[in-house]
Amino acid sequence: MPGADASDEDLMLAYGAGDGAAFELLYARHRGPLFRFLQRQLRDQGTAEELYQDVWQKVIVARERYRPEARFSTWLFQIAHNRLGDHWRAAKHRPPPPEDAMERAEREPDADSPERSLSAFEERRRLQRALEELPEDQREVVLLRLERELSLEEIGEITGVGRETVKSRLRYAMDKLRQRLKA
Amino acid sequence: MNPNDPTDGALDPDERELARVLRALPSGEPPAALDARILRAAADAAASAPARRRRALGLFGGGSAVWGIGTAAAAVLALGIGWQAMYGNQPLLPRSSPVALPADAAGDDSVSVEFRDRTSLADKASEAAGAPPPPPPALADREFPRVRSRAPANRVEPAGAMAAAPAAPAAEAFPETGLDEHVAARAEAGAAADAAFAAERDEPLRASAEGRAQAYDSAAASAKVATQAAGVAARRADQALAEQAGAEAAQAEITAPLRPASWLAQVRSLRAAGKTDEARARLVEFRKAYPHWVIPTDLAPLLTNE
Repeated sequence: MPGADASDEDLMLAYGAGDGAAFELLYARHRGPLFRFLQRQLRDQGTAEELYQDVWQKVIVARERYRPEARFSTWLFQIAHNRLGDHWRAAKHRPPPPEDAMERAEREPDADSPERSLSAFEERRRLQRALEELPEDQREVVLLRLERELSLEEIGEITGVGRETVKSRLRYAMDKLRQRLKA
Repeated sequence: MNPNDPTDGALDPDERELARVLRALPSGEPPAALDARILRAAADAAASAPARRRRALGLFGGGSAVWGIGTAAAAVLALGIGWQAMYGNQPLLPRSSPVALPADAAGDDSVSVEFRDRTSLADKASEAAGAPPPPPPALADREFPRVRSRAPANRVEPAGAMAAAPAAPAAEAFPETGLDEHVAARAEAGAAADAAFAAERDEPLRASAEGRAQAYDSAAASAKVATQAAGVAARRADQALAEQAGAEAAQAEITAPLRPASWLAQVRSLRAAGKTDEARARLVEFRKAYPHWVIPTDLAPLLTNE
């Protein structure tokens, strides 16, 4: 069995060969990032859980077909991207923001000073709103860039578009976020 | 170059600042129950037989088996007829009277029309041949049901399609027609072989070599026609199977349960529309259909109020 320092790709290959423990390591590494990615896109806990389960289900089903031609994380987020696409197509339109979004943001603990808390809260609120206003494709690209710190090529692989398209979407998204935060 | 253009490597200071705020946004984690369910599913999958092997086995459990049997039967039949026509001087078993094949059998797609047993086949052949002793009824009844009973056994139907089967008689009729035609063609080929044997058996009664040659020619022609008819029937059987598969797929699509996501979306819509009881009922059905699926937390309260 591959050790804890094994690459994602080796773990996935081991899992495809029947090593269940390899999957546990792999899952522990990616559960948080994948869930947050879905949650930030969907803004709905129930739907995020549903799609999250779906994505892992697809990984499990495809375990024997997996070939390490790309990074495992790229493949995983490709699956998530495709599943999100299905979801948006089925929903036809993005759902409205959750009614309790602001309350949830307010409940976030913050150990800093009251002044700083207010400022940080305002900053988060603005970023949250700015993200919600972005078109889906721009939001996805900026989340992959800022949260996952992926390169333009990797984002292109996941989203199925060329490098220049990714670059353009990212630039528009970043401009909007900056404007919102400065406003 | 636009100085605000995104770079390709690590995050620049501007991106890092945005990333810092982004990571401070409220975010959740998958519930522990969901983690456990996924890990269990993964472990179960790893412990089970490789999916590839199951898929390979599946190939022999579906319609291709029928296709293969049909093709093999047609090939063996053609070889057998050829062998009988050329070397059939010494009959191994006593033969019944000859049954001639209708001359237009190969060119007529209705060669196998509406056979339901060998008696009717023999009747049809009799009309063409003039003096046809029908095959023993006991034998006829024994052989045909065996062929018919194989067809449904080889079909794998989704539960929904099976439930709806009576509503789709056309889909059921195809394979029987195809198999009937195959049986008919095979029976006609047998009749042609009988003719060859009869010609040989009657040979001593015919004094002239010319008569014998004619008998052989006739038998060989009949065998050829029968072989062609068998080919036509085999093709029709394949076509019927393909059409049947298409009809079953269409039927399955109509009657198949919703995908989990669509189903849950439907439950949400019902709940949003104030139809709580209906939403709960649909969710209960969902849980029965997908017992291993984690019920999303926003819908779980519906079940607690059951």
